[in-house]
Amino acid sequence: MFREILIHINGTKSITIENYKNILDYKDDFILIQGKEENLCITGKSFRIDYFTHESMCITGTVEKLEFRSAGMKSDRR
Amino acid sequence: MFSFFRIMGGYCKVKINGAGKERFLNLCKNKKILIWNLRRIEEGYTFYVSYKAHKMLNDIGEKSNTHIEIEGKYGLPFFLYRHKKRKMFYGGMLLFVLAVYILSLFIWDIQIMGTENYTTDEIETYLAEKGIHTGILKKKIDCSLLEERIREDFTDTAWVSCDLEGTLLTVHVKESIDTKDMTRNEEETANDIIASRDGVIESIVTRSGTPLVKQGMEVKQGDTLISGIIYYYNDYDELLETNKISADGDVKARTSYTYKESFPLSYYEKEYTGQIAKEYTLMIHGNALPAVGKRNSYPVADTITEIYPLKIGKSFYLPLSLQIKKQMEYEPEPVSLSEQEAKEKAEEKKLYYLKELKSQGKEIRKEEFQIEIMEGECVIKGTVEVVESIGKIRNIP
Repeated sequence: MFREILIHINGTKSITIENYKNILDYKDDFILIQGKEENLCITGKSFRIDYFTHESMCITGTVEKLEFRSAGMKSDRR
Repeated sequence: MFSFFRIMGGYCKVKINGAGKERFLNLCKNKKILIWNLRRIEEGYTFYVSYKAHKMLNDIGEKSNTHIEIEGKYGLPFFLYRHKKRKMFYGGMLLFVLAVYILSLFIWDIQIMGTENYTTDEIETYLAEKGIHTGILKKKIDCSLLEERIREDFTDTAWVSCDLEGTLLTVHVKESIDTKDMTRNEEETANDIIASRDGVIESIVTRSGTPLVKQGMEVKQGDTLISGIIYYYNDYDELLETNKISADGDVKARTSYTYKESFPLSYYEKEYTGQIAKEYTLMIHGNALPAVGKRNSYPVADTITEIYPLKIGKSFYLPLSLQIKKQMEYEPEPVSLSEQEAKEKAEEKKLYYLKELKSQGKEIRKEEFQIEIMEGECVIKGTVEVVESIGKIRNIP
């Protein structure tokens, strides 16, 4: 059973995410992460993923917006 | 540290593209494969994985319909694979490691520190008589036993400490009674304070022990000033028992120093021409290999020889040393001093000598000097009366 997504934010420079299911999309200015019941959309600039494991991932870059969308909604960027 | 383990384990740079590249990443995640430095590029993604993990990527690529390309292979496993035919290289590396290990089992340098009355040569000769010299196995040295022996055989030492670090044996010897350093001695040994010079006692402050002298008494070198033997008497002045302790105190006495020096009025001064010849010699445990460098062809030259022992780090000395012989050519120029100039030079020497005495903590009370010019020489004679500490340790067995 997956628990809720955990997000640690360091200013606008980096985000660490835990308890996610999958990564659905990754572009320079947009990342879509699948969670338990909702998806997390991260919008910004120059995204890089420092590490990506089964437990956590770390995204660095310039974060402008974090948004939760229901799992049924498709991404605008797809 | 993490980079060190990555290099030792090996890692690869991978590029993926295709329709299922996100599925590829998620399959890696499910198989607990660590991915780092994941970047988006025009056609797909690039990232790094460990050497072990990269073997699983082909299966994942097939499952997710992704094209995989290994862009780079880094680290020790790939280095060894690329150079697997170079057996001599690996042999040489192994031999080097083995040689360093074997060398580390021996002593290759002995340093003696803190000696004042005893010379370094005396201590080194003593150690050689006890079978301790460069080239012996480290396990043959028992530092505690050595410290005890040196303390017994050199009775004027306050404390002795022997340290074995790397391939270096250091022997610290303390001969004065500086109490700040005495606290380093773990065992309290009984001792007297004796006179290091003849003199007349100026002041005595006893912190422990029995004082045997008082102000105004004349003492000779070696006389006991403060005894480490304590006598206990009963009410009838009968001796009950004696006890040995570590005597401690400050004893100052008025002593005198005789000074005599001479120098010729006519002599040769060295005018260096600037021509220098250097010769380099590699010494292996005292044996010299053929020298390299410019040989001396100067008619007159100063020779300075410097020896640099080779070591790894602070205390891993090797049985190798580099000897550099530097020869500096000069031309002897005749110099003749007038009487006035000679007396000025003599005065400078006298002042330098008095400054040296003061820097040793001696308080100058009286000085008498004579400067004479006779038979082409300037002679300086004098006596200096000082007040100084004259106490030194003598161990009680």
